Amino acid sequence: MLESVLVANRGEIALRVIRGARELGIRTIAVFSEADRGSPHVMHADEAYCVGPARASESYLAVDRILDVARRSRARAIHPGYGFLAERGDFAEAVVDAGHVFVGPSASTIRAMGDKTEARQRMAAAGVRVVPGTHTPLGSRREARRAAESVGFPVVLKAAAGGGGKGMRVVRGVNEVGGAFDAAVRESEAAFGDGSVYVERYLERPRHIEIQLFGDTHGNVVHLFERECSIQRRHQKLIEEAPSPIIGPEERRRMGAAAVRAARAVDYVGAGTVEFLHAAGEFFFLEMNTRLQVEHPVTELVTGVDLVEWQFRVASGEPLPLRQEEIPLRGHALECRITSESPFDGFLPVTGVVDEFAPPDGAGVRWDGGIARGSEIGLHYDPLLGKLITWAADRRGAVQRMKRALGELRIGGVATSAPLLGRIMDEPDFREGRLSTAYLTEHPDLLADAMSSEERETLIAASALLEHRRREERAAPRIGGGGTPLSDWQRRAHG
Amino acid sequence: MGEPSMSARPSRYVVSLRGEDHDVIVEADGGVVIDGRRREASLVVTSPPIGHSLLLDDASVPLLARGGGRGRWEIDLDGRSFSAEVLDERQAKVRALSAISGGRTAIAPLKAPMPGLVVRVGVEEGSVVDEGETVMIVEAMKMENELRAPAAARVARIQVGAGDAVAKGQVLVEFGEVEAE
Repeated sequence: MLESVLVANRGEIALRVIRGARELGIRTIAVFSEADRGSPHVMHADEAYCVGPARASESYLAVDRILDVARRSRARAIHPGYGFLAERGDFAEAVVDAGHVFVGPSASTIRAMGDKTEARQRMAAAGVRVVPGTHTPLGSRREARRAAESVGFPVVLKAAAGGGGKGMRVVRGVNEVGGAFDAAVRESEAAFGDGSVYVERYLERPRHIEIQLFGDTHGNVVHLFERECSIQRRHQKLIEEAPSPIIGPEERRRMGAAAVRAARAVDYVGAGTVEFLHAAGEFFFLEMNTRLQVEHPVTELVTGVDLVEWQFRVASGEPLPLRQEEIPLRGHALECRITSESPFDGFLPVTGVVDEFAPPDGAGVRWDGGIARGSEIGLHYDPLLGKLITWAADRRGAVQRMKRALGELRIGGVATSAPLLGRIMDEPDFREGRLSTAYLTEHPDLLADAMSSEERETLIAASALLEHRRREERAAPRIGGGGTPLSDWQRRAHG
Repeated sequence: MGEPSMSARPSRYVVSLRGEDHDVIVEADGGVVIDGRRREASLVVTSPPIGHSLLLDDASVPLLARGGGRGRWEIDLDGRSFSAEVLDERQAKVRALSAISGGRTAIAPLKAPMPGLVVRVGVEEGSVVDEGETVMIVEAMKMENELRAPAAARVARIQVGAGDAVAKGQVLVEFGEVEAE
């Protein structure tokens, strides 16, 4: 097993990887920006090094600084998490050149799959169906317009270096292409440092279903079944689950086989995910992510496999612990992404200090978070505060459990996506598994900033009582004893 | 100090919530009367300083509360944040009098809902915008956010340009009324 690992990330995923490493007895080395000095991932690691100011380009994306810490701390391996440097071929190459182990696939695999246009070519050659569109980046607005017209509207413009919805624009008519092209180029340049954009047909109301893969250095490749991630907003996933409510054993086998074929075509080593769009009984290759996914815990809960442990085993040169037929699929798992966005206010990103924090617990509930009371939520990084994951014997049970767990989650000081997610758990289409990537736009009532009469009365009663007590406290600060509501409150408050 | 009579006297308040006023009486024995309807209520701190438990009749409601001074309270209920203002009878009368002397309300200026970077300004001073029309694009967390006009209005003054960093709450665009045809 590896002696030590530097975790080149922050937030919940840094914590997840550090926990997995510590369980294997691996020495853990965290890096942090000046803004993250007090973050949980720093406190959970054996060692921690500052790599620069808050701005990611000067800290978490600063390859030289991270490699310098790896050298000084004598880190055997580097785990990139997801985002930041996770899918940068030049980083993976630099890590290996500096004598460390990169926990992930080879630089050439990352490059081939990171360039979405090359990935489409490779997959088509391997016999995996891809969404119709261009296989090369577009050079200009005019070229974009021509390509869009030949593919047929609606189309989607996508960043070749992209992922996560950044640099992505849906276009429904020819006169929108120019503006959308400029915006997509601008956004992908800002997010990935590469403004290449390509076009593919936009499938209406598809389901997003992906296959978890694992390869080792001995030529073994297995899949760990599917996850469905159809509940999205602006191509950002909100809710993920495993298994998909619509995939039966036969289709599961076919999708798994296609994903394994895709992985073999690029000599895949480590954890990876093949994303498919599923529409009208057909599935098309969307992209391959050469890293651990945000939503990996749902797969862990239904298979019992610790994916981070497998990453470390494969990086140590061990063969995969299980053969395909030995991987179980049990029960149903759901994940909700808790982000610092205000869902009833157009999903505006919010900032602030977390002034109260209590994660849910109890049977079948897992919280993968990266925040604590006192955490400052800024704008420098991704808005993901944590992930709430539930498991139960069936989907209905997992949904009920998620509803219960969301009700227990307390995050104060910043608005989060949690209240919207709670509403979705009650919504009939979601409960019945009628999902598509258009789900949120087709259920606008979920985003209404309405207040029930009971909520109103609760708020009125609470604020009047709060103000009344504040005034009484000020008038008589040392009231004590006697069993009045006031003294009870004071004893708890100050005791 | 500390005489039971201090809290034995019911207190009357006016609570403003989402632009509506409600008459509230806080009784000494644990009751609240909201717009004439009485309910049993008890509030204790469970996780100081902001975590509270409210029992309203028999319903158990956890909430987070932060005092903002001058009777302002910010309360988180089921993960959503609300603001309320609580005035006593005398303060409510003063406010009512000053409101009468005030004029018509103008169209609120467009403020930055979050800190970010102005990507593009889509209007010019003097142009007329419809309600909901995109006025500018502000990037935050690498996502572009379209900021829209709060009402049909004439763009009176644009305070920022593309490339400017803006703070949360900063005024970006001021509006004037559209002249009638």
